Amino acid sequence: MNAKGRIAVVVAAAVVAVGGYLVLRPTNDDNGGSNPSGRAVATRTSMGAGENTRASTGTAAVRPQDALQAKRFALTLRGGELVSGPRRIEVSKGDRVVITVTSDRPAKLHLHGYDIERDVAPGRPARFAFEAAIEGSFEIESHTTGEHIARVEVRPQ
Amino acid sequence: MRRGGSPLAAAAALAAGVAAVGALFPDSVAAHGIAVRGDLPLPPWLFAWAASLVLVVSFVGLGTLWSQPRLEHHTPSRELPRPLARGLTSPLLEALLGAASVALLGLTIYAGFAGSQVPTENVGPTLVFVLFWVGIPFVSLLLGDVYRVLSPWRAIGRAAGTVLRRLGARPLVASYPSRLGLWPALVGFIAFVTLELVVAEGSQPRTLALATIVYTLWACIGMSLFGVETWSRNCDAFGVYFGLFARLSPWERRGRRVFLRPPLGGLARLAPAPGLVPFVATMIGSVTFDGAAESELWASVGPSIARTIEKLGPAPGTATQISSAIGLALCVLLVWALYHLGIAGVRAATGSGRAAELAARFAPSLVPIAFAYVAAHYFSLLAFQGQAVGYLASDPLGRGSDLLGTADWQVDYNAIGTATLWYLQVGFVVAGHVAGLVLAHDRALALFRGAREALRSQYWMLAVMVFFTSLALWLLSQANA
Repeated sequence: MNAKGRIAVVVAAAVVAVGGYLVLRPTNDDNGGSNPSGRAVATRTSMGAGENTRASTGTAAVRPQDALQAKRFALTLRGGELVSGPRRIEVSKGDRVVITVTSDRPAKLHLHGYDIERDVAPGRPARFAFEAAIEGSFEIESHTTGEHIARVEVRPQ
Repeated sequence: MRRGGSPLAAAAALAAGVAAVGALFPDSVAAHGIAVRGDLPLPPWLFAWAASLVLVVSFVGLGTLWSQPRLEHHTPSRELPRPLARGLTSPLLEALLGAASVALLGLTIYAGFAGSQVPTENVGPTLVFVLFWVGIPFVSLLLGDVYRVLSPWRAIGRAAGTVLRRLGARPLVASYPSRLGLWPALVGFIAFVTLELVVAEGSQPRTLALATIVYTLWACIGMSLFGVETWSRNCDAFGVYFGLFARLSPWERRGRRVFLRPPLGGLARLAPAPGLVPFVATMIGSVTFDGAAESELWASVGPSIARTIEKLGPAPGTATQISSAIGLALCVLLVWALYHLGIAGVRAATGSGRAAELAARFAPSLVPIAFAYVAAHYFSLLAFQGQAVGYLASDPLGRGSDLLGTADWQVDYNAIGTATLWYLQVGFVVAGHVAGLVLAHDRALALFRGAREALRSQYWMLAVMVFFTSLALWLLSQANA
């Protein structure tokens, strides 16, 4: 193939690639595809520096009137394992989220990233209430058994 | 152990590495790194687009790349100004960096025993798993073989060696047995990825401190046997690992001069050593397992393997670790086997060469793909957990000290948006694919007689690379933590 032919092939490929991108890319805002930088929606809330509990005070508390519109999830543990409720909890950034966990035995539960730790015991459900301010995927882990219980996925708006 | 590595030898190295770690840390609960935050999976449309982009790029590459080998016999033409090069390669700078690095090694060990045992509150895990393990590959890509001067073990060896030589001591083994090749490094490498991905308490500061001590002993024994430079080049797991990535960089050091080489030129000149193929397979396979362990597939397969093992006797925690070890080994063997399938195809298509020889010769073209795996999977870890250095510098033990006044710094998890991360991940994977393709193409032209025969060999290598690249994208479209 000569030089002109090569250039033509490369240009054609570039057109196909860009065209494919424009066609496949979703046009609405709901999965973040049309917001390539992601910065526009990223408010600079910094919290959850690590697994230290001192940061948990920075987590936005859910006010009673907002709790009505909150996305609610209920998880049930039996013998330390999830027996009902979603293993993957999908929410959007900015959502108010309330996750209630009941268990037949006591455990210390930890939501990574948002860094919220709650105790659960029979008859005393644990309640994780927070505003989904950080995008990403975060484990809820039992610090008693080390078991991963569920995963909270916070998608871009 | 034949040249190029038999499956038996690879399995033996794998077993030795796993056993080395397993013997140290016998049991406990579920594993994994210091992932506080995981990446969101690639959305399906982006996965589809990236996969098609890979195919388009591949065929364009086949049609338009050069027909004479270009990288194989390059001579670096441009050079850094001599005074600058002499400054950068000066023994004083090397000694300073070495001393700093040994100090950090000591800090990791000290903090591991004296500090908090919460991985993110102690400086050790972030130093080892984020700055060292993930940070140095990126720095090596940009600046070349920096690990040579950053290696604390080489620094210790050089310092001790100066004293010992004065006392008349010499390396115990006069010449390094060439058939050992990179196998000693592979044992260390497998031990490290086992610690990272299999051992339940692998991210515990105390565990890491112990592992650091063990590796330092292993390094000291190795260096006194073979000499500091020989050990660092062939037997240091990290020397080989970071060294391969450094070959992606445009900088080439010769003595105290620094040259600029064409992109990928460093890998094209990589001499095939025994153990190289399994080493590269482990590089790709371990990241594959790390990604796959978060997938729905492993979520259903892993626990059932663990339960089967539990029935044979071991405690639940141990059984989980054994099932992870099996998963890791399977991923490495899968990568190894698929690569060899491609090589068998090349051999059948061209009717030339021994399989082991060909496998070793094409292995450098997998290095950019390995880098793409590492970059796509761990970039966010470096970008986010790397910020923890801010508060850890002031409070390295997690005991509430505030040495530099930065102890209340926090990680800004919104510093990089999700969509930006997705595009970066796709970018790394596609760029790695292109680089691998170019290297394989150049190598084929150098190895085979005519361009036609080279092209026939290319179809097979292309199939291998499209598979590895699609696998990388698929892993990213699963959960990634």
